[in-house]
Amino acid sequence: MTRGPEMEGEDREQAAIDDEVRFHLEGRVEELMAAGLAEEAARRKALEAFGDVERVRAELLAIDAASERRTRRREFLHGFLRDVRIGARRLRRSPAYTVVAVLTLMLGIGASVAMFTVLNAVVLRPLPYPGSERLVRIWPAENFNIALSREMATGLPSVAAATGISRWGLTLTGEGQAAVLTAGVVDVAYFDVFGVRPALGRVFTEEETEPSRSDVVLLAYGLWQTRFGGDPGVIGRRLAFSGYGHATREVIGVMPEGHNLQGDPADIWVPFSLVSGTPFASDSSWYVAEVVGRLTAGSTVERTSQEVRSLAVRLKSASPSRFDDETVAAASAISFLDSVVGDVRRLLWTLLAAVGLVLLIACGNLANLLLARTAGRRRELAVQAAMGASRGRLVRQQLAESTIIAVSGGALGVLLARVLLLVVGVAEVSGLPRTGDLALDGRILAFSFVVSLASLLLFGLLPALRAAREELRQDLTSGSRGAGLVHGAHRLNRLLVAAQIAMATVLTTGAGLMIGSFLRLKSVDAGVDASDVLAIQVQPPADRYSGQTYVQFYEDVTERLRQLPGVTGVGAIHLLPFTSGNWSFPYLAEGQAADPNVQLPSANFRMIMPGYFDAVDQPLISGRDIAASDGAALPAVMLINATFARTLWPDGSPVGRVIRLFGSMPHRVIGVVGDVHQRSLDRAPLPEMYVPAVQWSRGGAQMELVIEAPRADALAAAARDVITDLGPDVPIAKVRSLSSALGDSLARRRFIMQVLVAFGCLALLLGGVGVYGVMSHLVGARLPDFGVRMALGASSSDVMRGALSSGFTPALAGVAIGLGSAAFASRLLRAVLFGMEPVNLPTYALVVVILLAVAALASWLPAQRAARADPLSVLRSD
Amino acid sequence: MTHIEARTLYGTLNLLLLRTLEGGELHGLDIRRRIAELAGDALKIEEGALYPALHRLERDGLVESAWGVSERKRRAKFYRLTVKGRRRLKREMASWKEHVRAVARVVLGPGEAL
Repeated sequence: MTRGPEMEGEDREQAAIDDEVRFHLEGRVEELMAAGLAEEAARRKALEAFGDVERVRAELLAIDAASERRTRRREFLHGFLRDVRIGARRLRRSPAYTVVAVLTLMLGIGASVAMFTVLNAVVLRPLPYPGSERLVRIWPAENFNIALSREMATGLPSVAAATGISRWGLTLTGEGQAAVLTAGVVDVAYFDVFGVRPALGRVFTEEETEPSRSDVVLLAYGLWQTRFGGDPGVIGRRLAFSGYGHATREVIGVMPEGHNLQGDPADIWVPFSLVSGTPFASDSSWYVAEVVGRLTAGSTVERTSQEVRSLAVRLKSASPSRFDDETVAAASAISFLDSVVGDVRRLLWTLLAAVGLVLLIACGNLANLLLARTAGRRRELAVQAAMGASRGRLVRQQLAESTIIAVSGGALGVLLARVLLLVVGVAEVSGLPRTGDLALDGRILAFSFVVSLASLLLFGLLPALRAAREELRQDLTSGSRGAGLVHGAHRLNRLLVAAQIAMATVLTTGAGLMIGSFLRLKSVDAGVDASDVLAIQVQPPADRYSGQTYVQFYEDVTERLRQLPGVTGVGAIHLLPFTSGNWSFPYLAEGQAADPNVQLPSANFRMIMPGYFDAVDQPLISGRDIAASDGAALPAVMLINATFARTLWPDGSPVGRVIRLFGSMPHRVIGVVGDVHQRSLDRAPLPEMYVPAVQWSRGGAQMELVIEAPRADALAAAARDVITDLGPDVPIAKVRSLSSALGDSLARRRFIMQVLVAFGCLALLLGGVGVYGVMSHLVGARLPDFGVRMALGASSSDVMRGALSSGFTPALAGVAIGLGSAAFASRLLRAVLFGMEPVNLPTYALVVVILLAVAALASWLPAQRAARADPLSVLRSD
Repeated sequence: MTHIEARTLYGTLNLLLLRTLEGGELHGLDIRRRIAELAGDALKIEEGALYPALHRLERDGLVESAWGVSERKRRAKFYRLTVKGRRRLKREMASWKEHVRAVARVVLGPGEAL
């Protein structure tokens, strides 16, 4: 049998095995013959002693194949490690290239990882409850009453358990400093729905939902630790938690660490309290904020949604006046996670896509750098190829070098992301849900790894394959710097530049649209003058401040605040503009007929104290403001906003007309005030009514004091003193300026804008660097050409024009492609754009100017070098 | 003596092979002869089983092989211990001796010796 280099793998192994076995058998036969056996007998005996030759051969082949694979892997790894060592040495020799490449990648990967961390926290991470994927939010409308939420909880076959959830401010007194606590008001099923058991004590019982028995409370772990020092003896104690129907409550348990509501956390949990058997039509507790249920095994959200809809139809036919068609149409169920995440899911994916573009631009730069570097090493590579280095080996060498850059860029990028997130403080500035915990987790690490690997393939593979092109061998003979093959590389350079500029254009357009929207939003007239207004939320305990004492307290406080130096206005309102709470009440306006089969329309409802409109500079359009004379004694009065006035009486004056709250409580309209954007600037003002607090006997509200003064912030301490002086047992929940409340309401938009602007700037920077790099390289490569032209009489401006065009043309193409893509991509931003369409010509025009300016600058600098080309020196250089 | 199948002696066979190679490099035929000479008929090993065992040892990096020329001027594959194989042999010998002593103590009882 012959063995030659042409034999491959398995054949060669097979041959070696055959040789070895034959050597054994022949040797044995010789031995046995030497011992005196005849050849035939010796042969038989040798075979017999050997056993089944075929089986042994097969076994050997299997063993060798496995070990061959192993060896090959080991050799590859060794080879790769050797290449990495060589690569590291080579990178050390060109520190400028290395630093620029690693930093570029670090920026791209860092921004991507930071963005992904936010997306992961908000969208991908499951909610922190066992089996949280089976939680659904039912009928995502607000303002259920308790009875209705219970109907929903029991009337849906696919829902195993459901609970209403609401938040209520309760005041804790008698345990040191009075404090306003957020109570999670829930049904008994809450604990089954969220799969939580108390760490200590027990949960509510069914009997404890009766108003007479509902004076029980569970403490949050945090409150138990900070306020009660983690003392288990707190169970069974009766504490002064005033509000929501009781002055004191018995502590029956402590919730486990780490469990809480989504959004604003609760300090305590109390049961919804309603006389059992109350039909929902006569339940006046319209404050169940949401109903959350747990699906039975095998149910889907879609099925629950259908059940909710048919239940709503049933309830409407049973009690038409309590439901309108809109409510029935809106009846549905969505996954609880979706309801918590809200509408930001798509937005965050859009931002991730945007940062992906930044990373692509960064990879484009690296690819360009690498192409230039490869071009510089062409002779070296050609020598290696000529000396027999395989194409695979050349690719591997290139990739090894790139791997070092990708790994260090990736690692530094992750680090940069951590620093960025730490510095930015996403939870505080973004207004996004679930951003409190941005810890590194497996998903983020996996993402970082994949992104680094993808970058490596993107920027490393193409130049590596080019480097290994067989034509390189010709370079050895041609010897010229400007060899013809370079043109292929240059075409690639230009393509990359065009792509980079296109992506930068898309990002800059997105950023421009967001800036434009934000500026427009900022210029919206809020309806009040938020500057120089301090807002203080105080919560007088309901058991000691009820009815007239409650109003009296506010009157005393406002009176005293008015006397503070510099104060120009003082008032109070129970729901400050630009915050999320809302009260909305049904009404029947003068001239409207009550139809028992149709639900009454609703309008926003606010209680105020005299002086409020002055303090926030909300203009009085007609009629008069409320005054001290509008006392508890009737007639009841109200002011309405301009939108409400326009809605109700488009032609006549509203002053003097009567609006009946809930269809029964008459209030005479005494004036019309200007509109305020209650929630945030991007939502149109809604119809709103303002009633003097003194005339509102139903209670249940906590008022927010507003103080107008130049440099109102400086008054905070003095105002606190006044309040504590008049009501030592009245906790102060919140002190902030009205302008900061306004700012907070814009937080999410501002965050998105800032993120996109940051990405846009990064894209411009990287894109500019990309154009500059490629231009420098192109000009460098064509210097002899320019020299010849100048030697032939071309002027330096001719040469410069030629050089400029070679860099500028791809940039121009990039801008054109980018604009087209931007028109398409910016639709993704439609939900967060304000007052402008995704295709906004002035913005696009500005983007074009900026991009072209960057491209021009980046091309001009290297082009100057071309213009200075000295004909003689370039001609001599080769 | 009971006839023992080579296969049930797999572990022992490995030890034998390593031990045989301790003195220097040998080809398969030599290895067979060395074992046969030392053990006589007490250990009857199917000759064909030697090679898979050797190849496995090679796969595991305990022995390495090279083609060379035998004393009769034939092309033969020679095996020798690697550093790793030598270390392994030392360890296996120690544990084998331990094992034999333990068995001997039980089988022979106190006072008797091998």
